[in-house]
Amino acid sequence: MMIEVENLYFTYPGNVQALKGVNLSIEEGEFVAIVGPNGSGKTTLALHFNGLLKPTRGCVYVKGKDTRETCVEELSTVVGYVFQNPNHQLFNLTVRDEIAFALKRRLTKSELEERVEDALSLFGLKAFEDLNPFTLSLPLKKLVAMATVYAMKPEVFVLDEPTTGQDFFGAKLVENAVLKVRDTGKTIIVITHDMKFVARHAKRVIVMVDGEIAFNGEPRELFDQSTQDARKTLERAKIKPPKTALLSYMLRQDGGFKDLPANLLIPEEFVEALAKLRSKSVVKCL
Amino acid sequence: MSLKGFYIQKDSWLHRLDPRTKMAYLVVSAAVVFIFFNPLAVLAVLFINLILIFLAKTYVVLKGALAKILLIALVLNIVVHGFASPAGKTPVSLFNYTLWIPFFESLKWEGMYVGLVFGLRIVALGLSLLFFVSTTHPTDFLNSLRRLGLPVKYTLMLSISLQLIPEMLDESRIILNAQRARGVRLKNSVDKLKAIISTFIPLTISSLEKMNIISMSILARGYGAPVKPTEIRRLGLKHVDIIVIFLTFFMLALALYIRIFYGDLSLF
Repeated sequence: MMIEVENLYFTYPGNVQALKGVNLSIEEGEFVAIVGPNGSGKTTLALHFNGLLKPTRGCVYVKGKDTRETCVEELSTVVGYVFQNPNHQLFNLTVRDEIAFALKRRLTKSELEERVEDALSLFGLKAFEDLNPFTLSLPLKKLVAMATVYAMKPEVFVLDEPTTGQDFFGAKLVENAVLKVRDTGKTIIVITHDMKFVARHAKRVIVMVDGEIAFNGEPRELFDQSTQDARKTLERAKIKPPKTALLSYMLRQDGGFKDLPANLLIPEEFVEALAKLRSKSVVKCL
Repeated sequence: MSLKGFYIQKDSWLHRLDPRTKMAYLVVSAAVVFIFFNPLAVLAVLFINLILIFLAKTYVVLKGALAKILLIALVLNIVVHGFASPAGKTPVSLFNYTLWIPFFESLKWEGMYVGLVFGLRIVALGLSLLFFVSTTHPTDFLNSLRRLGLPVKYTLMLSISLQLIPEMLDESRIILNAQRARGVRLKNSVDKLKAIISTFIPLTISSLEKMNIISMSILARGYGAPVKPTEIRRLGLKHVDIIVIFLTFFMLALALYIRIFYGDLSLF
């Protein structure tokens, strides 16, 4: 078990209850998305994973270590956290220095070089290594922030709203970078409002509502419009399912496509399902 | 932590007073404190302030750091003046011993008296200020400054900077966390000193960005238009304000009368 959360309560100063009895476990190598409305406790929960917040009640274990007894510096080598605003994390004069910064005191020169090269090439930042990170565009800044965390070689990668506020290509760039990190075998936890991203990549989705977990399971189950439970959860969490899921449900319900599965998530699946129906010649009009 | 922290929202007639009334009291209490050289006169103002704070139900401010600083200032004044004031003549003797420190003379009664008066003045003034800030919302305060003739340009500048301070504190907390999350160590004080750079640069940049955005947004919302702005929070002197202002000036007149005909009431 990589991360284990037991009956976690957290109260901010001013008696604001942000988390109310959260139970959760995340396995090694999982790709988990945390979704929910603003102020539902997503970021508060994620900040517990690397010890930046300590539980008011209950426990969080990272690789079996209690976060209350482990300092952030030690946890940051296991759980890397990429903040929402990359400007908060960057301060060096070149991209290369930025990536090397936190490693300087931990590694020898050759190890350091190797790590920096590795991070630069993984995120495709080789061409920008001598530029000032503040002169880069937002998606590139995001990549630099991710690279600085990646260079620490954490086993878990927490990303706070990686694709928010970017144009299509920027979001795609960051999305691809997240997938590259996933392919290196790391556990990925993404906080996001991007349901297309969740539908396409997440293996498990956790829905937070008012500091509690409203749903914990596969995206396909969550976005399945044909079940009452899923619809209720989505309504509570103010989440709109991806268009493909809505379309497949509506076609099945009102469009006479009785044999179309109700819980298709991505366009490719949808096309495939339609093609199958056609080959069965059920859909005469096509 | 926010700067608004000094303001305590309670429902009392002192909260409802016009800020200008309270400012008048602030000025008069400062004058009274300074025209007498007798601890009793200063204590009288001090007690009036304490009563006002209790009437306004904002006594929480007395538990804050500022109240502690005032007490420390009082003690320091007595000690420093006791040893160093040129007014000192009679040494304090305790069982025939006099307190004495190198390079200074011994502790003197007159010096301590001077220190007591000075210290109490600071405490009384501090309490006046605490009463003022704990019962006056910053917005009302700024509005009243504008009513008193300070240009909108300056009051807006003041109000924006008042809002920026708590925001910057929040921002710096987030940045510090972001740095810790990427492995910047903060174990000892040397680490913390080094972390200043990693916090300062992002903080400066984000503050500059924010200021740029604020300046554009206030321009976009009509700031600088050559017309007289309409007041939204209307301030007006009510009957109670007039009574309080009358009492305040009566206090000043009484103090001036005593000062002119009976002197500064100094005991030494």
